[in-house]
Amino acid sequence: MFDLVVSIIADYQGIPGGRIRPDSRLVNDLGLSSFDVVSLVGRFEDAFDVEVPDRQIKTMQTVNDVVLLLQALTSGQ
Amino acid sequence: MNKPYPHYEVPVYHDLPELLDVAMARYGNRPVFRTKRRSGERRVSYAQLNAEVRKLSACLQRTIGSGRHVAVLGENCYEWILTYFAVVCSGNVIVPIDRELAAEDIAELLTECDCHFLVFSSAYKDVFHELQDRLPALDGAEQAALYARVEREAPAAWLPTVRDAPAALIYTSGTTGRSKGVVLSQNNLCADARAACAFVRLYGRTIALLPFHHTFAFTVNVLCSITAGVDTLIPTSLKYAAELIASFRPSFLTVVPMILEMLDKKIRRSISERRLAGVLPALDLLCRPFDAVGIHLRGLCFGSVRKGLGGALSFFISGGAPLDPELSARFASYGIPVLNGYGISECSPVVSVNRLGHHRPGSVGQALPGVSVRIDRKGEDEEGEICVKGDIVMLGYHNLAAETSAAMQDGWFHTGDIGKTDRDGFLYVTGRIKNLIILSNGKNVSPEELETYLGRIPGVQEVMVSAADNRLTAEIAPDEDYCKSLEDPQEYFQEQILRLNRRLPPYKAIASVRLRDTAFRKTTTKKIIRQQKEDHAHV
Repeated sequence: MFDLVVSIIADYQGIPGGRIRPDSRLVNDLGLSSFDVVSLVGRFEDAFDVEVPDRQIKTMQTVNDVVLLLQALTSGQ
Repeated sequence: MNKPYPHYEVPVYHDLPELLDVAMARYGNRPVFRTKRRSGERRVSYAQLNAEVRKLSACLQRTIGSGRHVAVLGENCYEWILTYFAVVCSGNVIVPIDRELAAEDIAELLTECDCHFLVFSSAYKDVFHELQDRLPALDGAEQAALYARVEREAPAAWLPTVRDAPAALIYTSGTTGRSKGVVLSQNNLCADARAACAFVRLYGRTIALLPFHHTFAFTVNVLCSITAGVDTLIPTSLKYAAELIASFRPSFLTVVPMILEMLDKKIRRSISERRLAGVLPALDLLCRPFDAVGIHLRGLCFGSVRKGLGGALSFFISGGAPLDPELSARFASYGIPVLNGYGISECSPVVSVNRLGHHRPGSVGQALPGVSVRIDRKGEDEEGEICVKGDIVMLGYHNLAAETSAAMQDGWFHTGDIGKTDRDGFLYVTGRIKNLIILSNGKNVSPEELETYLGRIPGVQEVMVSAADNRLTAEIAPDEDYCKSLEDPQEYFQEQILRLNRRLPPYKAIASVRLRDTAFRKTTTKKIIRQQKEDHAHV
């Protein structure tokens, strides 16, 4: 899951995947705006066939936060 | 080119019932709002909106009476708009709540404005229950339940309302950290919507991308769009905003600069993928001489770029935050001008806007018809405080008589913003008197508010929040004794701030932390001087 999340972010932001680490902060380290993060969530939804409630988006501060949230949603928690 | 031209014809209305009646007479069964959910698309016509506002107004007056403050909390949807109209048309005062606020902040705001009734969407039911735990007297209704009552309600006539009485109470971020409630009347809101429509002709379709609790979004995307007979799509989320723009084919979009940045990123990615990066600047140069003589080739030359934005997009209206002229120029080169404007909640909110074919780079346009702008206390550079007069100016701040008197002098509202005008009356905003941080997404951040939260972190002795390039930085003067017990103070404070960010709205997230060797310089009254020398800080 981590690899797919990284490849989606890298593709969106036009940066090498190698720059993205689990503790990379989406806004501060990867240069995404809050609208970018919302757009990315749409891509995650398509890739993982889940629905991320809008109110949970703000919990996504780091790449690891994204992975944990998607893991929870895909496992139906 | 670039000469003033007459104002557009706009129907006369002074309150919301008049607006809805005028719109129903003109546009009848045409769609006013559409919502798309997984279950399909739902359309509401102008006639249906008119009838449903009347019904819900009657229903609200029976159940909660009139003269009360009624808050609305939820994502953008048709029911949110219906609630807003019905609350006002039933003689109550609407209090739109920023849905990104934490429950404790909403509770504080509701207490401040003596609001005991909240209309909420199902997605915010848990917040309502949390608020009830904090405010036992709070009553409320879920939007879906209210709408179900509307469907059973008999047709109703308009209830009498007073157009100059308080209609909306808008909370803005204050410079002192305390939110101020801006009181607007129906006449204020209607005057602004009418004047804006006389300046910029809205038509066709649009997508409501900005949250309705922002006055800018409500005035332009709801009041102006209804005035002009626009068909508005209300997305339930912005997760697929770019795809919706491509498929819904809007005629214009109301945005904050951060949305433009997001779309620009998408366009540039697409250009790069199609290896067109070298071709487009040449096309831009080719179009310039034709622009000068009024021949529009850009639609043809930049067709592929425009197709990515639906293909029918004629212009953007941008407000809420300063617009980067380069970004604006890039969209103009694709043949999609960005009409930048200036507004403030206290002025309902639009004060000025550039017009198609009549605009100046870096300017926020001329004052709307019926609105006067004066530059007060001009310095040598002709810059001074922007003051505004006209029907768009608020009634005052809620329960803040001293602040109201300070802001309203001789009928002029003192905005606290710095600017200048050129000889043709184009306004240029150059700064803020206030400390308020305005991000490019239009969000206002009160540094004092964040400093309060940061000050609660163990080990923080003093703190100051500032912004550069849209990123918030916390500069901390740590408690030295506390730091002795820490292995890595920088890492500790970063971790603490990450925790704080998780409970803050995304736009208030703090991007970086700097630790100082020394205390901050202060005024004689022991207040931190915000323009600190850099030499005491280290990253």
